[in-house]
Amino acid sequence: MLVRLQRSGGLAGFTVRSEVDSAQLAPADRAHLERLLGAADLSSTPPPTRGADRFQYDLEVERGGRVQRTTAFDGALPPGLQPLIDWLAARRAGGPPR
Amino acid sequence: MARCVGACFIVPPFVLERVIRDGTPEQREWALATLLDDHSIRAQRIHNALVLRDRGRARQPLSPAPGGHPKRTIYDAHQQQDAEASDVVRREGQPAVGDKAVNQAYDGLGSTYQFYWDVFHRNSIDDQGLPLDGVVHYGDHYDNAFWNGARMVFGDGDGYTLLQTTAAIDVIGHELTHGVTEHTANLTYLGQSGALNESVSDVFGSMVKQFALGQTSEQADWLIGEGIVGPALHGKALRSMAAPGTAFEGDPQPAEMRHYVHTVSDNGGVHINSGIPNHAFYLVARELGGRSWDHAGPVWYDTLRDPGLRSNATFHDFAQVTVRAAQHRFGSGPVSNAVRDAWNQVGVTVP
Ligand SMILES: [Zn+2]
Repeated sequence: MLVRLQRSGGLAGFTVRSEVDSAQLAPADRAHLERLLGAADLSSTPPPTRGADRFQYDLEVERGGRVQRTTAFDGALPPGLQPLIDWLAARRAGGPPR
Repeated sequence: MARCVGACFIVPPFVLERVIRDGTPEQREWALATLLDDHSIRAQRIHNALVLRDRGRARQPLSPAPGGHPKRTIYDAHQQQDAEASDVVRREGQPAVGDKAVNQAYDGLGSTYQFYWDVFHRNSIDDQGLPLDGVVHYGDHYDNAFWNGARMVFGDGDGYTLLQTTAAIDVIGHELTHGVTEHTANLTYLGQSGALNESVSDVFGSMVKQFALGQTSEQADWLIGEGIVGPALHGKALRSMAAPGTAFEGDPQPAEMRHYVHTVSDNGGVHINSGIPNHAFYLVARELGGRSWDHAGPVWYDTLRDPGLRSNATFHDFAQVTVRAAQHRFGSGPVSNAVRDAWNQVGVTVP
């Protein structure tokens, strides 16, 4: 399973990406990722919030050739998505934001 | 360059129009006479002022608050992602506190209010004296600042890409201007209209900084977010209006229409393609010289309030209204020519 997260927008407007291949994860991490994915409601997409400069999140989950895509906006994230975003962001290797 | 721009008016026409709208019968008569006396003001504008005045009268019998003073409240979110934070740390008129971010937000919102009041006689975000609510310390190492439709919200930055976001006065002006846009042209935050919304925030944010520093167009740095970029960006700012695409390593902003970026990220590249209208404004201000808020600024402000500017405006729509606005305010001449030339230079063709 591949999980890709892209964050774009925000005041600065630059894009940051993270990608996790579950095959490369330690068993405990893999189980944790599955729990986070199970808890996130990826089928619901609340409309963008009012205002401006909110982050846009584009999430892709690829399993067995099937890809599920979700777009969500900071301030109006689907239930359970924030912990998944935080976990993926924390795993970003601290490279430049491009 | 011989031009009869702002210096033609002892009292700017928009102030006169406001007097016509809101003044006593005596003040109104004086303002009308002054306006009619000035051949460069068209009957159209007087007509508009009168229509607005009567519309305002019919809708609200009470005249709006006199204005001239902000009503600021700064809240502390204590590192929580809570834009509705209720912990008030500084109210209007209270002295500085020990927290630098609080004071920067308070001062920056004050400078932005003052800019809109002194230059455009605009009384806050809604021109009705809306209180200014700022939230600081939003989120944990949160590398963003935003307008949530009611409040201006500032993160402390991650220290890596972005530093404390209240440290840049133009960023505070940028966020407050999102509120002004929402209450005027209400440009849809998607694609070209979204990039115009972003650009308007950069344009007025930059003018807020120039106004506070008393800088001319030549002296200004035309940067957005100078002083809040972290070491990972390898740059001097978030955006450059003078040279879009050069603010930091990998800055994706185009300066011209032929490099327009088509993307589904960032609401359709609103922070990317804003480089094009940003550069157009810069070119106008530099061509005319002097203070950006004397000629270029009023043209952009009139455009934002023009009823002919639709929420889903394209760059081309916006450009056309700026040329018309320049002609209305300053007559056909150096200002409207500079506006038209600037758009043509960035590849937005206006006849
Ligand atoms: Zn913005």
